Amino acid sequence: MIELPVIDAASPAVGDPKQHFWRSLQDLRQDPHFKRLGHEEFMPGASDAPGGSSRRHFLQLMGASMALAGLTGCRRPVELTLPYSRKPEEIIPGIPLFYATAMPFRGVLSGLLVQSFEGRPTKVEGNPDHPVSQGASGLFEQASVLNLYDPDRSKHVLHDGNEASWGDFVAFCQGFLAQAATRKVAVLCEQTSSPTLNALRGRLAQVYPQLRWVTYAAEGDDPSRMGMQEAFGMALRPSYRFESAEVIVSLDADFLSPVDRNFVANTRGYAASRRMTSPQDDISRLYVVESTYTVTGGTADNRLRLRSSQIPAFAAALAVRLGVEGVQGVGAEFIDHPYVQAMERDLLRAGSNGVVLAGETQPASVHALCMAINKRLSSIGNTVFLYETNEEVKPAQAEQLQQLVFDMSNGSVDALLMIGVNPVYDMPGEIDFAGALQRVPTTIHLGTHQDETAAASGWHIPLTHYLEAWGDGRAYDGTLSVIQPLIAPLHDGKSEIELLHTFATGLDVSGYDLVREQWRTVLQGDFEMAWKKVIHDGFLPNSGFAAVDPALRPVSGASPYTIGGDEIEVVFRLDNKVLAGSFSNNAWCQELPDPATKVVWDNVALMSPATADRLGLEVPYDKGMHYADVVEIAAAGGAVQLPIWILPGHADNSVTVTLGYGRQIVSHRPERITNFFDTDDKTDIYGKGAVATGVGVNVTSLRTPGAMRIATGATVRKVSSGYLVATTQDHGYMEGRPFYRMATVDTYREDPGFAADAIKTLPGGEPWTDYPALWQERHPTTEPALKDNPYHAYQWGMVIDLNTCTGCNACVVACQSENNIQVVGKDQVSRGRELSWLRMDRYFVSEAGQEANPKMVMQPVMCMHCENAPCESVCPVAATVHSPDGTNQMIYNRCIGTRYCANNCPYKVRRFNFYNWSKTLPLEVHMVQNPNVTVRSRGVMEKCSFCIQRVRQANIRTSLENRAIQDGEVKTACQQACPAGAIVFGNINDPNSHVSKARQDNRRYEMLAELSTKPRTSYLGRVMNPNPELEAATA
Amino acid sequence: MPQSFSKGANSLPALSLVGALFSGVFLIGFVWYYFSPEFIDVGHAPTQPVPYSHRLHVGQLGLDCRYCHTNVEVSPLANVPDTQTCMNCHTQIKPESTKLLPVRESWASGEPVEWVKVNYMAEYVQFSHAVHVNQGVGCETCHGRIDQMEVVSQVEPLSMGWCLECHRQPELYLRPKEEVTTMGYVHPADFVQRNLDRVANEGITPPTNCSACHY
Amino acid sequence: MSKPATTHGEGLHVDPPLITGNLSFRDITNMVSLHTEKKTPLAWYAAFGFASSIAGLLLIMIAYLVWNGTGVWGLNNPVGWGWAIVNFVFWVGIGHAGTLISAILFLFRQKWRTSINRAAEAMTLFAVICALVFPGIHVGRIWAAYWMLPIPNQMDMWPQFKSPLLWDVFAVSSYFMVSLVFWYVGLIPDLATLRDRTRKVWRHKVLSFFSMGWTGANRHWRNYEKTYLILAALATPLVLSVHSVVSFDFAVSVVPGWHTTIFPPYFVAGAIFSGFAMVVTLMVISRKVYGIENLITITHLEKMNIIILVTGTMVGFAYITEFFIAWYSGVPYEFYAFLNRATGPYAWAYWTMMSCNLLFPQFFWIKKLRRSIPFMFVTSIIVNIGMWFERFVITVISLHRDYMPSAWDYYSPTFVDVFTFVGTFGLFLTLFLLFLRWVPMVAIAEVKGVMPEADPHHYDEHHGDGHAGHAAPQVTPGGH
Repeated sequence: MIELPVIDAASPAVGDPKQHFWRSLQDLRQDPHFKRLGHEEFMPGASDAPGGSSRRHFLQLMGASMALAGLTGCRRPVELTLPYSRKPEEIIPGIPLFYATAMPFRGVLSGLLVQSFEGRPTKVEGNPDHPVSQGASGLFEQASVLNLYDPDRSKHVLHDGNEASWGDFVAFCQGFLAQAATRKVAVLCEQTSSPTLNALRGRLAQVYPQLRWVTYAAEGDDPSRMGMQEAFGMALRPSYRFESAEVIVSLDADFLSPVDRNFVANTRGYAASRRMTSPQDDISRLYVVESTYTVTGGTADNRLRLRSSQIPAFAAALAVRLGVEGVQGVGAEFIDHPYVQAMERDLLRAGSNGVVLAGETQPASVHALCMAINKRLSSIGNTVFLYETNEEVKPAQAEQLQQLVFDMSNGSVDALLMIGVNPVYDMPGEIDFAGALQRVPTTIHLGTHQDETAAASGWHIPLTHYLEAWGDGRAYDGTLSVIQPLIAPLHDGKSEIELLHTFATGLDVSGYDLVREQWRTVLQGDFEMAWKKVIHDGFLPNSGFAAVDPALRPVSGASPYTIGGDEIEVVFRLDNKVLAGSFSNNAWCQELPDPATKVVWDNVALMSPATADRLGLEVPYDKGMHYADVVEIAAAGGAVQLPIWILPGHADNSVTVTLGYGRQIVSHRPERITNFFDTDDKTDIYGKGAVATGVGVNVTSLRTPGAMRIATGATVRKVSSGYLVATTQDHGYMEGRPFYRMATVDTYREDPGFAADAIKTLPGGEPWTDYPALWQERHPTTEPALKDNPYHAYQWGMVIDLNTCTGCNACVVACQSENNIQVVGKDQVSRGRELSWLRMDRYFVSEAGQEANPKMVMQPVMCMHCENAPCESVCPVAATVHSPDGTNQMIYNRCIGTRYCANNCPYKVRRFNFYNWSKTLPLEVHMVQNPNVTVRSRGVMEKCSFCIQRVRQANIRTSLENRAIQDGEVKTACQQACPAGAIVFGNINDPNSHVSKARQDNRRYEMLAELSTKPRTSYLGRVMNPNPELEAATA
Repeated sequence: MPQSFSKGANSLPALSLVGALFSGVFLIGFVWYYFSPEFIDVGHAPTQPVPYSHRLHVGQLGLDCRYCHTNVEVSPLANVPDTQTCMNCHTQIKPESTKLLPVRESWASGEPVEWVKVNYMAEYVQFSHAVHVNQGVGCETCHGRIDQMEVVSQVEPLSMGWCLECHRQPELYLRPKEEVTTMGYVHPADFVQRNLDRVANEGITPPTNCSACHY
Repeated sequence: MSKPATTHGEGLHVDPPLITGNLSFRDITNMVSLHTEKKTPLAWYAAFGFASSIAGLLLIMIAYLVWNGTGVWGLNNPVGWGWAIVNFVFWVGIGHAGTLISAILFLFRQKWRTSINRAAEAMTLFAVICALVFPGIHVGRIWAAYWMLPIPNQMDMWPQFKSPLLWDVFAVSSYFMVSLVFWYVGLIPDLATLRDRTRKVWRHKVLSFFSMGWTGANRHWRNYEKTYLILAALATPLVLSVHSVVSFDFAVSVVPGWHTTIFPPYFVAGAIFSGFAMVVTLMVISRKVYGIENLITITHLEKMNIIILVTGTMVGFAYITEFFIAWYSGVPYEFYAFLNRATGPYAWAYWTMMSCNLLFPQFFWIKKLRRSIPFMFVTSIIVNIGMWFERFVITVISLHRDYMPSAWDYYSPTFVDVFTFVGTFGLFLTLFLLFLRWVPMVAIAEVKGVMPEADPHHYDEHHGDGHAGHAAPQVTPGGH
């Protein structure tokens, strides 16, 4: 286990109020007004956590940005070196520290390990010791660090729109407490698992007897939880063990998507059930029935596209066939469906190793039904575990909301607290929340941004980022964690618990003390020791929920939907990149290509080609740009207009839309205005207010409290055309070129070398590998300069297992965060100038006659680090060269930008800086950049470096310790994030390294090996396990 | 009409050719030297907020470099000492000195002393003090006779060519590890041979590839 | 070796006279020198003003580019090279005719070259200047472009000599040097002629400086002829090498559609093709404007048209060969690349190229069209449009869809691309106008050398012996 520093809150040196922790950017910039505030505002708890100041490094960054602005050429600018006044114990400048903490995500925590340079958090990783995360993380964890440095975060307390101070609010609370007994207080709180917060809720209930507490999630109820209540009459949380599953049936369940609350564990489990080391290994079979194409659907062996509103009937049919008692006479239309029959046979064969699960779009009844089926298969306790969360049994959120809004509008709510929610933005269209809000005398909003709700509230308190404030909570499996901040709040932020406590008591107590108090009741034995250990480890071992197997209540299986043949349904999903809006002001997420559509900076209405034809809609592709038709979608709640996107494999007569777009976030930064000859205003994505503002359309008004996930009977009509949609991949088909290679289990067993055999040898049977390469004589790698080099002992290589890769995008964001990859904006992406080093290629593959149901495959592609790299020989200034450890390195400061290397790269993985992207970045955003990686300037090429900075750190570390680099000691950012463990990186000189073993796998192949580029990155062909009977049936 | 040029002008074309040749060579030479860090940067000696004298502290009092630059052996950065380090002594010694005013202010306010960087390295160069110091590259080798400097100045160009001189032939520069912080160290007669042995035994092979420092 | 126009002996093949209109030596001298001596006509000022303002556009576009970055061009991720490289190759190609005419045709004793080589060489130089604009500005960090030159530096870094781009730098610059010297040496006798005709003191000084004390002495002539021959021998291989090297930029890469061994000959042929077309375009205009139809006769133009016909056919043959090899190689990527040219999103560009370069020149089989001024004028322009598209087809179409379909994209130029290209024409015209105004546009001395009178045995009743001509000049001053 890694040695992690412990933050010793008790040690006087750190608590010393003289110590300078900068609290905000004004403070950094030595704003005198702020300096004055500095000390009286200082709260012992708030700032003793991070330890250390970032000023020094921050100024270095400033130097960097200045240099990047073009000063490098001139005589150097005067550089200041700012040492600490008193050095915090554990900090050594230049050496990063790792702190264990946790990120709240949709009501659960994911355990993290966060890298910090002189107190400046720069990179998020999964906590290797945490039972759920086990070192892996998803794209939201990776992207969350950018939220911390979001330049448009709310910076001040607002009262009726005017800047106020936290002190004013404390005073207000004290006044408000006067007649607490008579006050009708309602709290609208985000999903949370924090024991401290729950304790405060109890405390609040004592102070305000008429307290009403509504837990609010923009997407609506958690149907799985409601389903458990329906099936077992108690609050249970299902957790799936796919590693022991043989047959998995997913009913619109996108359990491999980072949106899923248990994404990391699901992916790890599923990957385990698919990993093959020899043709003899058995792998699981995944059935997916879904309306749109998800990453889970992409990994499915057999996928059925079906309208989400028909899936309940499908589930019922399956239940009937499997003989779940009490379920009769339902799902008639699917009872003889080949898929239902195939699933029945497979599930019965698999018995307790089978598992059926339903997705978030499905009503509670379907989730209940699935549990009944799992019961029937007696897979509970084997592939399904039911955690007893001990939460109270809740009525449906919709009823609570309607009641609350009703009371608000007839004036029977005195005060409304909105904790970390944005109801004005995401409340369903039918509910006039904004109107009702005006009728409440006291409204308090705690939020990260001055967003829609902040504007409509009396009080607005900036909400801290999880890296700024103390907190706690439970992981999906119930493991308790303390959220440890790494930096003092950048702005006047307050955490949920701090606000609630102040509201309940009128006292201003630091979150640190609140959490400590709470944990005194949690921890046994010597508190200080245990407390330190928890903070150090990042979690409390063995604090997970107990698994139970309660008796099942009768389930009917009747579908709530009756939908006509070509009646159109609208399905609302959380966005794969911005959730319901919590990540929509994050530029990394906005520019992250959607896994299925590759669309960036927009939300689109997805539909199948057939449906588009029927409605006379199209997305013409002209001169490299997609100009989509814009449609008006009308449903019970209301109508919205948004561009369409045609997605092969989407269910017919179904339209998928995602939440989280069309935000209105107030930005106080001036708009960038430049001279007529300067293009900075066009290229600066932060130049026109908040990143999220004006991106996409808010679709929530289509929803009604009754139909939060699916709206049936919708009408779609074309209103205009020619809306530019930016994608990172124009061409979706592989043109029969063997880049992505896969086979069925049977084929693999017959021909284990199927992947390698996809390429014909040269005429005369000469294998490609023996084919003489350009510059074969005096090949760079045989030159003494490389051979007599300390790095030559290690030869780095990578293997990517397409069998376990699901295309979840975690690696893409991890790479962006680690390597200072800049964001270029919608316009530039549409011109094909995105900078992502690691792109997720998405191809549609279909057998003849199956064009309507293509397979969707994902292939991560980054620099292949060819041994005969075509890019190297053509650079006129030797700016891209082979390193002694066998990687191909781009030397930014030598590059003059001829772009010849990019032209000559067969994999097209090189990215060119057409503009100076870092020049226009706001100060805050500069702070997220990794000091170990050069920030590229304008006019230079860049590409994947195999995270050479990490390799070099290891080289130096080991040479100081006088030892060799261990296998697995160096992990690339993508590899470290990957929850599926699909990426293996290491020294191919060492025959025992994981990567060497992976290279022995007979599924291994190299892309474009026939060019004799000898890539260091190779792939393991994918093995599918489709049901042969079905193949016969559908063919 | 008379000849506009005298007979002597016949040599003009030849001369102008030769002249062009020479001026071309001269221009290259000019840029080569006068635009190089060797000319621009060497001798850069900014005035510091505190007139700290290395000559006094190192030369006369004989402080070891590592007393103040504590992390030089473990970190890429040879840290500038925190105010605390100064105050260790200067609470007793010259506690009233006006020269030390900024230090005492920093001690009182918690604001750092704003020292000015002397040896500046571009952002795209990744340099680690630790790895050099531990292999026996003397402080003096790059920073010069600090012990004789009243005001610290840059003595070496810190240019890529200059780095490579040593990376290509470390045996000409290395010294025993225990002598790393010695100022005015005199190499023994056979030091090249000794170093060659060390290079062989300890496998000291400084990398000369680009990505050793640029990434 | 030309014979007198009137010959005895039937059936004996006779070349048509290269110079028509029974001109005497002095007439020639007058006709050509006049334009550099007489008062500058307003028309010239007008033309110059127009051309130089377009050249100014070029400067503005370059400034805009340097200020903002390469992003102002239409380039994107698969297509790293666009108009800039297309224009570079286009101009270098045009820059072939001049030196070819003066050097290679000289070695082959093609006397008809004498009337056009001066202007053609000038055109060569100006075209190469236009070409040299692009390698400098197309790089991302223009201020570091000098790293391509092998200059000692504090980084201890040399350029990488493996890279074809570097070969380019050397090939084109040396070609420019030699062409310049060759052109200048040819100028010396004529400059001397101008010098002796002038009465203006400063003009006399300047001209005497540049004519390097030329007196036309026998010894001068002997050295001159030697030098000229040697330079011709030096220039000849360069004519062939420069565009071969340019073609290596493409041929050495792995990009389907670039990685082709026939590129060098194919590029050279194309270059001569476009170069001659450009000469024809310019000559047709200037011979009319300056009333030198007798010096640059229809016969000269016809001979050039024949070369256009031959090289055009060679280029067309290369196009078809490429296609055959692409299919015959059995490499799917290679074959797709060519299929994509003919049927892909850029098919219009491909077929423009095909029709302009392969189809139109074929009309020159017909003697009537070959000798028709309007037709050859139009054709010569069409040919250069076609040749520009050839480079576009090779550069852009090959790049926009290569190996990985996931990376495929489309390239369209921005206004900066367009105006930069237009601007180079401004630069070209500006330089050419200056040339017409200040330098004898026809090699006076050489033309005299191919006239009947130059033949020692020449005698004809109208003019007596071939020395001082008695007839009045057949030319109206000031041109038409």
